[in-house]
Amino acid sequence: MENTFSNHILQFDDSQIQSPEATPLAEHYAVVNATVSIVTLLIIITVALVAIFQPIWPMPDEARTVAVYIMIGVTAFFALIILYGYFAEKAKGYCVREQDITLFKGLIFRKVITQPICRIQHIEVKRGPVDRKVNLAKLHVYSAGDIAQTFEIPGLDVTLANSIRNEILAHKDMQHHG
Amino acid sequence: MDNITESSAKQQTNSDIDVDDNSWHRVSPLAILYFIEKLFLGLLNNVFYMLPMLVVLWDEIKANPWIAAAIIGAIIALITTFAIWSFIVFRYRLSAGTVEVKSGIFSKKHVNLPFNRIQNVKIEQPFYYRMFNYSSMAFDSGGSVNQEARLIALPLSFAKELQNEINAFKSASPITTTETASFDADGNPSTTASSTAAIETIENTRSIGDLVLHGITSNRIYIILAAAAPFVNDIFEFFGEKLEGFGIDIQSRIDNDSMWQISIYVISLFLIVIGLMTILSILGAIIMFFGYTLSRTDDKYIRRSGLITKHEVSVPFSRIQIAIMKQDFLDILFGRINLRLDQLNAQIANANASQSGTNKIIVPSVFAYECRDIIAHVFPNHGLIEVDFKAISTRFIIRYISFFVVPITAILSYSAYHNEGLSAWVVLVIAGLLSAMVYGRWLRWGYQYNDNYLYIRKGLLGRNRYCLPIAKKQRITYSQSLFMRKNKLVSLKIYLASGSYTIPMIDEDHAKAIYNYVLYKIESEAKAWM
Repeated sequence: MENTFSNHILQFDDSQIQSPEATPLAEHYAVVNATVSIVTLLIIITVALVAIFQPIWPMPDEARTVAVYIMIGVTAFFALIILYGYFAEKAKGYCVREQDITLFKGLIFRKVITQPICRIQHIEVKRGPVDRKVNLAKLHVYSAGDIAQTFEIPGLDVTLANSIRNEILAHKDMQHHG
Repeated sequence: MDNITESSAKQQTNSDIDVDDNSWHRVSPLAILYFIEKLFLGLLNNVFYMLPMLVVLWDEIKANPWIAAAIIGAIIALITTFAIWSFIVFRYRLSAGTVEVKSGIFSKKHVNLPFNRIQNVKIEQPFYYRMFNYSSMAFDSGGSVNQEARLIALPLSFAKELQNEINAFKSASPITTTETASFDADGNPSTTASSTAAIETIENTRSIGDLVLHGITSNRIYIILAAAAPFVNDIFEFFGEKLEGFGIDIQSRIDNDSMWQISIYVISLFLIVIGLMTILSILGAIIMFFGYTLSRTDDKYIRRSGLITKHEVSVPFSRIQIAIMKQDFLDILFGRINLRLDQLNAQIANANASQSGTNKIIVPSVFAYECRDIIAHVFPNHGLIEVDFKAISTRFIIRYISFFVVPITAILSYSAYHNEGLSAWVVLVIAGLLSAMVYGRWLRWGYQYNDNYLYIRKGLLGRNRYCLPIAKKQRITYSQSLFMRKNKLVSLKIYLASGSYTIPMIDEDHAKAIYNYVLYKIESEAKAWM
């Protein structure tokens, strides 16, 4: 059995066991993600500005100044988080090999998470409203144990996500479990 | 095995139980006791919200004792009625390899649990069942708590038989084994079912002395606390008032007495508290582990223990994910080990503290050689006792000193500089202690692996050692910070169905080797993990 073991990166062919190599996520994913965050932030800012400057229940001037400063601070903070998020999403990648699926992530802490296919309990392709608009999907992979231990590859092209799912479902060890 | 035949079962009024029948059964009327207990406990939990009302109405009650008695009588009658009613609607059916339970008066519940989905069978004997040799069974499905089925008031012998049958059914289910099931279509053991009555050998027992030692070394207070949970508020209020009464007294003593007297007060108070806690902990240990036996059959461990309610947990070897040898500081002193064999973790998040121990195999305060033998049945040829652990990188010390000790020291020095109350010496001592802790922690961290097992050791004053079978791993994470990349270090996180376990800051080449080997082992063998 061990002689026939191979774990190539799918669609490439080299040696017995290859180290997983990261394939980047869909190109527009990080941009879309950042755009969504920016739009959300803008909406919140608008609502807050309206609340501060609305003439119906006018705020005292001092409170207004303080509120504006707080808003500038909070906005700057979230802008940094969005910027970080953009680069963090850009740094994500994945790799599907014959026997396992790997997620690469992290800017400061690089993480390589590998899930053997024979240990997958079930698998889901999820698409939110934004994902549907831009033709993306998230692949959720669940193994036994904590519910917190899910494994998610975001920003995959829909057809790609579906074909990865089908590939995994077709794996012989997945079919044993029924 | 002495099967309950259909005819004899139907003649006996109390055990109208027969496995292959397709009809619904009632349990013994003893179940009423179980429902009374449950309702009464539920009421007790709420009674404290009604206490203020009682206090307000106290005079009224005193004036009209008969009305009060009538109300209490009515409550008791109501509880009894509901208990009897619950008993009447409680039905179960065993057919074609499933347990079905119907219960509930107002909200009806129908649980259907196939034998092969049952993760764990627990036999419990509350004191009121023990007198009649009855028991109740709880079935874990490994899913949510709502899917847990419970059969109550069964004769003990029947419960055991059913347990054997379920376990046999599971081992015969066609996941890996090639042998065909030795059951007929209804899920009954065939006549040659001598294998289901597997011989149990007692692997370990614990004496009262062991339990006392266990109570001293490990904190088992929470068992008592859990039992006292409905009363906790009142207890605290009671002591709060008492202390307030003493308050002025303490204040004046602090003002008048000299320093050494006060320190003696403090020390003796401390000792009293510690003493009380130890006694409570010993009581807790005895309540939980009284009459402890660990038995073994071919393929599973069965733990039985309990003073008030007797618990029985049986865990097949194949479901055990990890062996953990836990030692607190005092355990190391006494040379004892608490052994834990954990299985799937799905329910643990939902179970409360008093129950968290009930689906694991725990062996309290055993010696190392006993540990080795117990683990060896589950994980053959493991080397957890004698393994030579490899140290992790000394960068671990540098990291925690610079990210943990230095900032705390800086804050403390700052406040010491501005505040007379905190002297430089105190800051120095604290910094020294923290650094010593970091060093001690580094000293305890260790890892090692061979073909089949990965070993981890960690702790500070205590020491925990883990034995992780490589073939049962679920997932692995390999992580590196910028600094670690520069120093060629890696942290590994290994996921089992029972939880995740970390090895921090080890050499990159080693980590790569472990990472690749673990994946290779899981994927090439694709063994069942439970």
